[in-house]
Amino acid sequence: MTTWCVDANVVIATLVDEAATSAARSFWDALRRTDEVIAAQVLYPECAAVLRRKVVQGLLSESEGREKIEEALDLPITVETSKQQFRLSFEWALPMRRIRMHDLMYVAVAKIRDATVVTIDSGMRQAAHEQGVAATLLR
Amino acid sequence: MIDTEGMITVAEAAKRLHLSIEQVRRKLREGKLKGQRVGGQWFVAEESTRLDEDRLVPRELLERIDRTREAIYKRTGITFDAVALVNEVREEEFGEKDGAE
Repeated sequence: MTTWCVDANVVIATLVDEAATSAARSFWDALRRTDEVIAAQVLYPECAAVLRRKVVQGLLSESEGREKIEEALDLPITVETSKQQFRLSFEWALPMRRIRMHDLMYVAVAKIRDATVVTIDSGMRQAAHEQGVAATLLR
Repeated sequence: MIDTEGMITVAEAAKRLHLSIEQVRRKLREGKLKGQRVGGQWFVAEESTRLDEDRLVPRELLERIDRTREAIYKRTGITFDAVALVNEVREEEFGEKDGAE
């Protein structure tokens, strides 16, 4: 069993046209039943907020926004619910001044579940490496 | 030398996927199947023809996402920047500023 921890960037790149869309699609396409995809609890709030903004800006219609929400929810992602993700990311963030807590929550989930972070954000990959967590940058 | 290791013919891929040869060629052209042209002939990456029951993500779901994504692109002509979009909501909705102390 291989466990992958995806961040919101990967999901958004899957749903709407993006430079990394092809790489994101290939990632999902290559997954087998021996794989598991997990995410931090902030995943869906982040995705929903991005999609709502695009609807408000008129770049997506309301029906397109609803379709994209459903597609995001249909992807086989298990949201990690353990409280440890908050504890760990908080502890990691305390001595840092130039990093977002949200990045660290995904990294914490990957650490807890011995997963590889999957992202299109080089900053996220760097954050993972700094905590000794494996990370793959989709290009 | 042309490397076709891990590649199968279109006819073999069609048989495995229960599709017509033309449907396989169309999927190759659309990038929905991995493959390459060698001497004017398409070859299909064997890994992309694995039976659906072995897939974690149903092929139908990815194709549905493709259709809606392509329709949005066709209408708007916009290529989004997912990293910027996510960072924007983190900053404005969750108060997480990049590099902020």
